[in-house]
Amino acid sequence: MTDDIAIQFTDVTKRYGSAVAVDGISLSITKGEMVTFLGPSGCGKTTSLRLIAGLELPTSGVVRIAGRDVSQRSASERNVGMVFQSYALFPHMNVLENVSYGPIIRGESKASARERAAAILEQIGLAGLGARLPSELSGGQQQRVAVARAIVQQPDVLLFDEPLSNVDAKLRRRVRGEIRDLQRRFGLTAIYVTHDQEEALAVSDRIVVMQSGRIAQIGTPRDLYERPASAFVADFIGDANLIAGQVTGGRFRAGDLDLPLGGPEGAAQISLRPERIALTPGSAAPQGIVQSCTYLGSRWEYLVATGFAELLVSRPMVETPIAPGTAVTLTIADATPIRVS
Amino acid sequence: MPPVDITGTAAILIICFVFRNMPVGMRAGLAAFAQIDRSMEEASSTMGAGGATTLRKVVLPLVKPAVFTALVYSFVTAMTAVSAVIFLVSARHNMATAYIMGRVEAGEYALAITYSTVLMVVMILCIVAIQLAVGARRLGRRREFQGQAPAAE
Repeated sequence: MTDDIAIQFTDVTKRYGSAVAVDGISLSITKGEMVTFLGPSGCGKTTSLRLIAGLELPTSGVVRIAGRDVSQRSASERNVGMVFQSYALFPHMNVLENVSYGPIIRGESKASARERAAAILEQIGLAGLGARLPSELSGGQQQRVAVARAIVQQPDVLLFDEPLSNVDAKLRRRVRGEIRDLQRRFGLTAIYVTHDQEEALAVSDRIVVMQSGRIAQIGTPRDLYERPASAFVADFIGDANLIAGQVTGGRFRAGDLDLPLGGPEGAAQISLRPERIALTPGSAAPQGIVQSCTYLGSRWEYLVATGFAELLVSRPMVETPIAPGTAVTLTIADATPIRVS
Repeated sequence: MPPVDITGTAAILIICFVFRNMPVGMRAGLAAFAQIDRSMEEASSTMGAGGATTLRKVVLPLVKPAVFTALVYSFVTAMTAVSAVIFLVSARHNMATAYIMGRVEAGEYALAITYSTVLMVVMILCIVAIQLAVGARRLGRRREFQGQAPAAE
């Protein structure tokens, strides 16, 4: 079983003085998996990544990479590749020297290291740019050099620290696709840190959502979106209408909202996705009034005032827009809503 | 016999210039160090380099321009070192240093030493006062950790 576990955290804590950055995290990551650490800033995701890299050492707990306890080993004693947010290419070395730096440091001969570096550069589409300095490359090319440099020595794990934050919005979709391709092609175990939930949904096998140094939920992108375990996760992954109410006799009630819901009786909170609510104008018993209708190109976004909450509703562009001030009834598409507390 | 007999040797001249120019060199060096992105060193260490190798292969090449500037500056000031003041003072507007030198040339060592001591004490008091008034300045490297507490390393 330990054979396919690439990384294992056992009760890992990292403190800076009295501030706790990572608070007793346990988790395992399987070989060949791409896992994203997602969360708002200050949630401990970057610290967790740096704990794997060996750039921070845990205050307590055990970090294992490929079965070996590396908790108190420095970065240079671990076999990890890391792509930094700023890329951190060495500006005084050309591309080939940058990529062959690691293998040469680890004792490979200059000639064979360069050969290997050149092969990697060719595989990621940078053939012929070996003699350029990093400052002579575009942002996208620099990023690929950073990736080449990280994977050239076949690391046990490849780490990405918000790699797309310096890429312009248009390119992001393409670059994240390239990263995912590369990870699959080389069969790498990869860990990716981001605060952008859309990016996380797009690239990951599994997502670890973090909140104030702890893991809020781990799951596949679909799990997290469709079955969030807490209000925090529901709200952080996509948009969510969080509604507080009461459960009695297997039904959730809040104002005139009445939905089937199992689980324990009493106070409860549910999450309704904006795209799961349909609006019908002008009925006999209206439940809400449209406050605003915003054109967003691919969809309409409504704010609807109701007796129980102000709802965010998202409808496809093909539907006829409903003017603000119109009374509407709501149809919830979910058979049963998601209970988050 | 003084404990360390370097008066009148070439060594004392060299030591003097080293100490006189040290602040400039330090300042230039620190400024260059502060500009190196911390992740550059971290990248080097994730690729297997220890501290010494990182210093030699990454940090030193990057601070080279600053080192060069400091060397040129020190060399030029050392070569042309005669303070301009000695040509500029007059009987009405004298300066402590020029006055002390005059006393030394006149063989009045006791007076010269007393003046030097007073000069040093006054300077120390002034520096302390400035420090208190302006407050300590922190020259720091960029920190990766976004939290409030500084990383204890």
